[in-house]
Amino acid sequence: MNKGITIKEIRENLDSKKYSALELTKDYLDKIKEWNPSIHAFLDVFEEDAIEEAKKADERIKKGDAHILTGIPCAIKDNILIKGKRCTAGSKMLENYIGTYDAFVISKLKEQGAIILGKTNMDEFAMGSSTENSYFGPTRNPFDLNRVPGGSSGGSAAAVAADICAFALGSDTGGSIRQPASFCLTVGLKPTYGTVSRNGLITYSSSLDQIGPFAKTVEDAKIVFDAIKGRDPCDSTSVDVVKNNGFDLKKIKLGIPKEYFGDGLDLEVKEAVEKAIEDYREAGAEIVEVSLPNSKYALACYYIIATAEASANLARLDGIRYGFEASGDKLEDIYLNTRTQGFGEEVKRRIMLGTYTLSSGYYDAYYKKALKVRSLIKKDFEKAFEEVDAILGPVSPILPFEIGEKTNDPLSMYLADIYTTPVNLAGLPAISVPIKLSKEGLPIGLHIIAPHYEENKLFNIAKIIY
Amino acid sequence: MIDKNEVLKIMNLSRLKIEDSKIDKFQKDFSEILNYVSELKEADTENIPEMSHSIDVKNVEREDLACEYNGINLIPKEKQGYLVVKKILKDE
Repeated sequence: MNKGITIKEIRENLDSKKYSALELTKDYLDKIKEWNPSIHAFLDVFEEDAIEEAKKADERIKKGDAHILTGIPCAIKDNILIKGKRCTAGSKMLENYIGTYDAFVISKLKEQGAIILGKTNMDEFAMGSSTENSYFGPTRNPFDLNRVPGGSSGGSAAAVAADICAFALGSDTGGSIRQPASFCLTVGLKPTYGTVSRNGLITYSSSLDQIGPFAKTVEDAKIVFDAIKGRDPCDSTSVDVVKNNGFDLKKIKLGIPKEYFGDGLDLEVKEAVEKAIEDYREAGAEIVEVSLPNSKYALACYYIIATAEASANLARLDGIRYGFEASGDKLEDIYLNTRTQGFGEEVKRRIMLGTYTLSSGYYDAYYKKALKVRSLIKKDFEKAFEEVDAILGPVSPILPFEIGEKTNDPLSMYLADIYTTPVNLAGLPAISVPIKLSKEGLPIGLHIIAPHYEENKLFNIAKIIY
Repeated sequence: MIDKNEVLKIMNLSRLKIEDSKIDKFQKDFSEILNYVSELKEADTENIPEMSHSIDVKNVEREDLACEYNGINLIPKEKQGYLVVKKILKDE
């Protein structure tokens, strides 16, 4: 599989003056002009700023003051704030919203001198699994333009896959980094909850959201993760505790949850994942079966908790303070008209589902119950990790599907997240690693899940096969 | 199937409106989703605590210091040095 040019290679070329950051940036901007009209990965491209930043990066390189990301061109999902730049979250509601500060991760990238090429398309407010829910139109999968790139961070995944940026940032609430990474044959990391600050991320579901990288290799994903992680005083849930223990594959035990290979799993995906597991066995890892008995409830649990949090988080978008505003005679009409015209269909559905499960008479049966089931799901993982170092399985039960195929059937779209949502509920780190193209040439990814704060173990395990 | 009046009630609570022509489809989709998430009821959660956060979180305190904030620039209207927003309080 052709991985495209990596951060590591670009670094070497910039440092050895094979080309300048300015030449590289112009080259990427040209590629964006060539490819973005057909893929629609970028919503906004910052040509002038990127050129200015590239010149500064060249100065730093000349002075010998370069970090690992100095002069590396990247793309940012459009729910992460950049000061002075539009940040839409894929919504009409925020079509003209300008970021008033840099997200923590953006400050980190700017400090290092990374070049931000632009903002990438996404499902509205990160609600979706195909990027079709964007107010600005869908992103197309570079491997087949009639198919979706996955979602919600589909723009970032497609941009990395098409090599119109060196790496990208996305956010993952129920699989929104890993599933598009899998659909676009790129590496996608969902870090442990709290290891990357959410300050400056337009929230969908606060207890599940996490920012992470898309990259061409596992090594590149680690470079970006190391650059953006860390405690941030502006996010009280952020921590600085990523572990870094020695690694020996011969002493590694990998768990295969039997529940992840049942009904609904595409046969080609199943075979590809089983082959990858075999590769690990041959490389010297011990493979054992584990059980995650409550994983069958994870998707339902996720859609209750995420939508409940979303219904509260999105209440602030009412046409009074900022964002889209519609007219109305009475105050109630302004609220109603703004939200009705500003939000797309899926966002409305999720706000209403969350409102329903939090409403009087249903709170105990749905929301409270989901919080208890969440405990069970986390316990399942804790029990499995007493025995194994990491868990392997499919990322998505299905191959990248056609644009329009699932838009009329929301529940079938939700089922695309069946293997990824338990990880967010338990706050664990997980990575999607490319393993194979299907007979039709469609990407398939392997899902590797590790205990809290074991990103480095995850990278070490992932590197064995990619 | 969820009752139509129930849909109207949730719409009202959410400050949202679904177009009349789309309400039947919405009602059907919403019912299917509710039906699916209701599978949770089967889970045995006796004596299981509720978990709203996956990692241990505690209150983090800091000094109450002023910091730069440019959000005020987003408010579109200004009049004689005041920011103009819509009226949200009702006359008595």
